[in-house]
Amino acid sequence: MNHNSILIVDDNPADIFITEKAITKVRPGSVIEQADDGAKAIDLLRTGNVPGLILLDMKMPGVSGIEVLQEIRKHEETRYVPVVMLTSSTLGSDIQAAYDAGANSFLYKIHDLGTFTEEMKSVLHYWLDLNISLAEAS
Amino acid sequence: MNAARTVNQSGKKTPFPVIGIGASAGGLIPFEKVLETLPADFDAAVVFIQYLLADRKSLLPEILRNKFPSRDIVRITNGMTIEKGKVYVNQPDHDITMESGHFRARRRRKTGVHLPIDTFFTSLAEAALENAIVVILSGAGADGSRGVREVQCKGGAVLVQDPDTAEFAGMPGSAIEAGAIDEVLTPENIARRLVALVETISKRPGEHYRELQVTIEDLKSANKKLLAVNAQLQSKIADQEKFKAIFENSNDGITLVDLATGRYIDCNKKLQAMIGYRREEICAMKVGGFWSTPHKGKIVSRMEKVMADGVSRGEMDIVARDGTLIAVDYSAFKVTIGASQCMVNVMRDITMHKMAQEEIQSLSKFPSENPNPIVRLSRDGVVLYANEAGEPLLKMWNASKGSFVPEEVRAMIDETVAAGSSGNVDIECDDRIFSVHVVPVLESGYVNLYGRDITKRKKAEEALRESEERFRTIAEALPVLICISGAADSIILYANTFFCRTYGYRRENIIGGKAEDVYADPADREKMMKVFTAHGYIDDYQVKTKKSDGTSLWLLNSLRPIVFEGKPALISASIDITWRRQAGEALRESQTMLKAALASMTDAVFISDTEGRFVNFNDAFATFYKFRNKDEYVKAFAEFPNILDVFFPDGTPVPVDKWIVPRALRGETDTNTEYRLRRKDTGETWVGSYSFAPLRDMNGTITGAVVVARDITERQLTQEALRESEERYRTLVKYAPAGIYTIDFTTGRYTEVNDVMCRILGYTREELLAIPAMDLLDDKGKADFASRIRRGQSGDPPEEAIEYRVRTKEGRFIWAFLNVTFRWSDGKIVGATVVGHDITERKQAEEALNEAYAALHARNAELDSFNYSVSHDLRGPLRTIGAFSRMLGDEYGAKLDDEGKGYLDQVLKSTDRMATIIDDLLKLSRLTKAEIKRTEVDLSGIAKALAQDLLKGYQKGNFQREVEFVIDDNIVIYADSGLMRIVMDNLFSNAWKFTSKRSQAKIEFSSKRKGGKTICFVRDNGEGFNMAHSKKLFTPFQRLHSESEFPGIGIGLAITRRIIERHGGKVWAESEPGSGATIYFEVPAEIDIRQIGGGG
Repeated sequence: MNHNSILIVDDNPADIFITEKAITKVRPGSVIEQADDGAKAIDLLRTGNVPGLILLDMKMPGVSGIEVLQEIRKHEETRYVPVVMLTSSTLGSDIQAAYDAGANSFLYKIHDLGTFTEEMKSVLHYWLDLNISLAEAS
Repeated sequence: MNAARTVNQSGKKTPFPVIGIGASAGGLIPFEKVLETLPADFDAAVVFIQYLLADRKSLLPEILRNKFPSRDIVRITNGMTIEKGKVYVNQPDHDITMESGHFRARRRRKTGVHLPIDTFFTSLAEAALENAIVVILSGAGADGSRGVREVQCKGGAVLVQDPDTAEFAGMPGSAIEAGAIDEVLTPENIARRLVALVETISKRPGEHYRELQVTIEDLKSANKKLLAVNAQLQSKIADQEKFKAIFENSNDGITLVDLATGRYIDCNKKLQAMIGYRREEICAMKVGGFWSTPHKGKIVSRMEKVMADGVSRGEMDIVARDGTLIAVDYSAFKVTIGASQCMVNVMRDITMHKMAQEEIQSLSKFPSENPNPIVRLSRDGVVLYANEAGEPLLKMWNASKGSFVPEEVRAMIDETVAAGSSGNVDIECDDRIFSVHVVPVLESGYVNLYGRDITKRKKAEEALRESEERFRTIAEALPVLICISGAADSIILYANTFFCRTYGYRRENIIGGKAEDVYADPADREKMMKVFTAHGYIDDYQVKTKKSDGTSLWLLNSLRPIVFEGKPALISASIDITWRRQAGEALRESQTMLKAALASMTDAVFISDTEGRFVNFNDAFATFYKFRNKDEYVKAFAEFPNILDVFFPDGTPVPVDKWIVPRALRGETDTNTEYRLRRKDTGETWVGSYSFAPLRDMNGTITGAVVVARDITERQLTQEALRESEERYRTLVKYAPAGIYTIDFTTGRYTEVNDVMCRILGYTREELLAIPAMDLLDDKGKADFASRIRRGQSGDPPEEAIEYRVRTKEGRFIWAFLNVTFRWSDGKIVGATVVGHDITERKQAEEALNEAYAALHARNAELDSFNYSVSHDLRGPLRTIGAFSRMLGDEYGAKLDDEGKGYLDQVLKSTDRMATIIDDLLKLSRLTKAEIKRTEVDLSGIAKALAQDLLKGYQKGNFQREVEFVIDDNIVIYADSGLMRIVMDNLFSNAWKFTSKRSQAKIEFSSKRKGGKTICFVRDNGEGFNMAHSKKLFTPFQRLHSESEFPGIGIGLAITRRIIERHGGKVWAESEPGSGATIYFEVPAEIDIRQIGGGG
């Protein structure tokens, strides 16, 4: 597991770009991998390339974010990878479904890039720095 | 029936009445009362049998002697002779019986049932028969009830103390129940009754009855030994009494004629019997009226001869009513009765002699062979001839042919010759009687005597006549009903005067009638005759007969066969026991039944005597007069006799003589006469319905009145109420703007329909009543209604408001709302009253509304999902625009000139604005879907926090504003706290925004109560708005101010409204441009979710 690598799964290239932009802004030097649909993401994970964090868009054509998440949680190698869901939906039911499927957190795809970047900073800090030290401590 | 019962074992009953008094607990006091009241010289013996425990030594005789020193009070010992006038008292440990006028006292056995009263009474019944009188006084138990039956069976009298007056009612009650009692009386009346009974016993018909028995026996023996004695009438009449006796009892017909007037004054019974005319008829005749025509001419000469000589004799014929000629030997003599000169005519029926004479004449041709004596005498009395049969006569006369007959025979010859015609004379001779026809043969100078032995006939006749005469004399004198009827044909041959008088028949009417006609039920006589046939006699047979007026007469009847007037016949001797039957039956019936009946009646019943005093009334009677009980009634009436006002139904007072009792006592009878009554003391008024009638005794005399009354106030009120209610119902049915009808489910038809119903359905009433009620429903309605009724029958109450489609006459279906009231009978639905409204219009409106609602709902749902997807899908691209614009500014800003930077800024601003719109739209759309979770929401707290946030945010910026917040404490509502937070945020943000141009801004949050609801409001002193646009205010994206004036997208109030409405509340605004606005909202604590609808 590469604690510095981050996998972004999103069908929207503009969103991937924005997400990547935000990541590199708060955590320069991060290893960022991309998948532009669910199937590709699953394939990628099966190659043994397990990232330190997965940012997963919920709403994707074909294999949806939830389905990808369920797949991640099914396999031993990926079971403990933190997954933060990306969503433009503010519906509580969507968020709940994500948590039920095993998401660790979520991130609103808000239009305000500044705010989004701030949010991203705290997410990365928690899941890549704090979470790892917690895991190591235990 | 026991033939020996008339004669008891000793052969003789006690010659005086013996009164047995049985008593136990509480019996001593009534006994003392009896003793007090009985006279000192009381003509009977009194035996007091007290039921006592054997081990108690009774001091009763001593006590009684102290109280009644004048009375002879005796303790009974064995063998003591019973004497009248004494009072005997039993020993408690002895059983007392009576035998042949003596007491027997036996020591009582220790074990077994001890019934001293029954024991004594039973022996008394046997020993004293009709002379026994027994009394049952107070006492527990049933001792005596068997004894009284014995006493009554043997003809004794039974009196019982009225159980109501007895300290212990057991013994009197048992005796009454046993039924063998004559009277129920108070102790005082018992004593009075005893005196009366003892008196009557001395002249009881039974005594005569027994004499009659003896007489009948005598008559029978007399029939066997016929006597030949004829009492001669022709003796001198010494005095009038004797004359009268002879007159009436003579075997000859006798008339008495007033010589001055030539009229009959009197005639005897024999004559009436002879000629078949009644005394009155004969007395209406002139002398000689019934003489045969040839003899009538001799009347004057006869009378003259009597006047002159004092006597006249001869033979003549008289004519009976039926025309029969009767030959009579006639003699007349003069008597003086009072001041009148009278003639007595004695007529003896000599038809028999005549017949003998004729026979003699026919036989005279052969005198020597003639078995009858024929003797010829010379004119002076010398025997000229006698045949063989005549020898005994000569011998008797001590004469023979050629010698003189004795003086008396010669006198007879002289008489016959003097009379100038032949005569008859009866001559007794050696136990024989000859009818001798004396025929003077004057021309030959001798007299022929033709004798004929009539001994047998004469003797038989005489004996019979005599016995009959004796019988009649006795029978007529007896106060016993005696009747003789033919054995074969039961035709009444004789009835004595007492019989005729008792039954109310004239003797002529009853004689010749049939015996069975006297009986109440001819079958009773048949039954009796069976007994008679079986035994050959009857004694003491109780049978019911009827009098001429139809009233019944109970007889104690005895029947014997006899020969009467030569024919086999039955003689019945009876005594009237109607009084006893009445005492037994009527008393028992009337007293016990009346009491029971009265007590059980809910109608007031009272019986008054002729004075108007109430002698009997029941409990309901007191209730009727509004008294709690009888006692109160009696007391109140005693103190205030005029306690009642009585009015006719029209309210006028009823005069006393028109009150019920006076009317009844006048003989009036009526039913259901209504009087209004008022209690003077309590003022209570009620309506009484009276039925009344006089009470009459057997003679028809009014002896009292019986009145039955019922309080019909309730009934009248009820009837009135019923009538009013009926009227109201009719009016309602007629004028109600609803179809009203009734259905009878047994026939399935309408029984009543009103005009509105007819109008709605387009039928006439007649048409509706003719068609089956269910035919008007559609199939679904029929099935539904049938299942409702089925459910109803099985105990599940059917709903009573139903909506059905009903077919009109035109065939159109209308919707009817039916309010059904089922009628039940015996747990079954038998009919219904239905009020129906035509709700077709409403139904149509409802249907249209439902359709519109469904459509709206669908459209709302569509709109929501459109709204959601639009918002959602718009966000992505917008985000891209925003993000890239920002990145453009950040990373390439340096390369842009100021104008370019300005353009990019516009893009960013628009992007922000659009993002806000989309967020708000999403919020709005989510509000429709979100569930409301009510908790207590502290609006005051929310308001205060908001105010602080706003002030804080303001301080961050560089604005110069002074804003005053006035927030009331404790405004708490029951609502969704998250949503209410949004509402408050919107309202405060608005107020903050629209007061931005005020140098002294003021924002208030407060509440007020109105109609039980809390109305909250946020008031500001900002720009305000025109009320004409107030509705637009709550519509999404409607703005009243320009963006430059007040930034915003105009969705805050729309969201507020949606939230408030989802809580079932409402929101509204008041304002005036330039002077601030107030937004009111009201959230009810609970709401009916259905009111909100699915969307909008």
